[in-house]
Amino acid sequence: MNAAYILMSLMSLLLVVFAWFWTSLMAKTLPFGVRIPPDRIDEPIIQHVYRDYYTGLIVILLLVEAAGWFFATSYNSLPIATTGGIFVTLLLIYLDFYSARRRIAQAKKSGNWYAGLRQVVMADISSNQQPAHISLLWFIPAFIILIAMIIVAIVRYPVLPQQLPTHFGIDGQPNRWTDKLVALWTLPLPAIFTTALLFGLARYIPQARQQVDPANPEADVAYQHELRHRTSQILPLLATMINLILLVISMITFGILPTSNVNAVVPVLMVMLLIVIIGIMVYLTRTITLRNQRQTRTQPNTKFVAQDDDRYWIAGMFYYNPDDPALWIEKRMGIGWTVNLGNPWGKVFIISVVAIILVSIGMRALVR
Amino acid sequence: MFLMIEIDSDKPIYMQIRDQVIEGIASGQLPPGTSLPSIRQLAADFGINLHTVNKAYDLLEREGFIQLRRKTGAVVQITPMLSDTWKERQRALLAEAYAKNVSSEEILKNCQLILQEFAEQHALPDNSQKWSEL
Repeated sequence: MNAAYILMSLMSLLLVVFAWFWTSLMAKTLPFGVRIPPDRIDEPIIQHVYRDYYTGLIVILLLVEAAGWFFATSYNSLPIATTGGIFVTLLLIYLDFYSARRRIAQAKKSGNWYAGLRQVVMADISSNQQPAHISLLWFIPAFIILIAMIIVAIVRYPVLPQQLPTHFGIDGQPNRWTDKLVALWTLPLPAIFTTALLFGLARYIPQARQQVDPANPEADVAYQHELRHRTSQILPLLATMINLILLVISMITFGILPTSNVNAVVPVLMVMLLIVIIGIMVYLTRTITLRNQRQTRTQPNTKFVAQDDDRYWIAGMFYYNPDDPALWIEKRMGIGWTVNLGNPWGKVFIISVVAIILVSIGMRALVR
Repeated sequence: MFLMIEIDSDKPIYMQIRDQVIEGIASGQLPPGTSLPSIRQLAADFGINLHTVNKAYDLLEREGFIQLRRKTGAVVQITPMLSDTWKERQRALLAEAYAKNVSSEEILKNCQLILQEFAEQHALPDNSQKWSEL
């Protein structure tokens, strides 16, 4: 029994819990990423698949915990018990998910669920004229903190020692040091990146593609407006909180706050970060459950249904549609956007992401 | 107003867009001066090729329903002249029903009902469509 085993168990448990609750983010008409017509959401096969998926998760958890315990006690092997355990958990969860997805896809195909339904793509052409832009003034606090951070760095730079403490042990004593020129950049840069990213998102979201569910267009438009509005509201708040956290860190690093206070400051930072994460989680889950409730509550229009767009989704995860001019596509499962791999810019994006990952791994290997 | 397309329909997508825009104009949901989304925007909303939307807008402009503008997209603008092919198409449609022995009264009654529907939707205050009745 050691710390590594406990860590691995916790990580695997977290992964399984995440995989469990992730299903509640799936739209009723997209169980496990398979598009189904609205009149089939209560098919018994779907309930079966859900039940088997959850059972699978419990089995995975027990299996991984037992195997981890075995490796940790008999071999005291750290790498196998930790990284191996997490990797195996991920793989098993994926297999569980994949089999659920496959079963629903097969039921849909053999039951010919789309027979007699007219599959359409619907767009609202009236609301496109006035995208509900949020006032970007809400980003001002985040910008002010960002500027403060840069000013702190510039003002303190000449009086700083050549080496700065950037990493602290549990006892509050610095155990890693960084050259001050490097520290000058490594602190404000993440803040600039995240602020730019969140600012870009807040600007982009109101203009994003607006497809409407033909089963219930009015309710769907209302929901989408609300979602966009809420998302644009939380983004400036998020930017402000992240910048605030980074400002406190840079004030410690650049010696405005004494390092002896680190022990008191770190928990505060952790709590702030936790509040941000929990806030986002609550916000997103609430919004998504709202959508699912609305979808089942309202009387659906049965003649027209959303197009079965499974053909564009490779393995249910990667969107490939060369005809579609859109670069960013809303994900079918979970939250966020994915890139259209059929779009030339989408290809450029994916290739550069892979290249960046490969280069950074290569650099690490070279440094060692 | 909602537009919808059926990707798998036998009717070409550009014709689907054209017909719905014209119906929208007829029923008063797209009064003259209304701007339509840009070609790029509509293509992105539907997830279809830009050329398809371009074709629909081009046709609508040639037939005198919209005016294309370089920057703002398209605006509903109606020129009174009916297109040359309208009579031809009307003839073909009526022939279809007549050949199947549908009586003249019934054909006329159907025409009347459709025209009445347009007029009624014109009178609706919020220009809302009734999807449940489709």
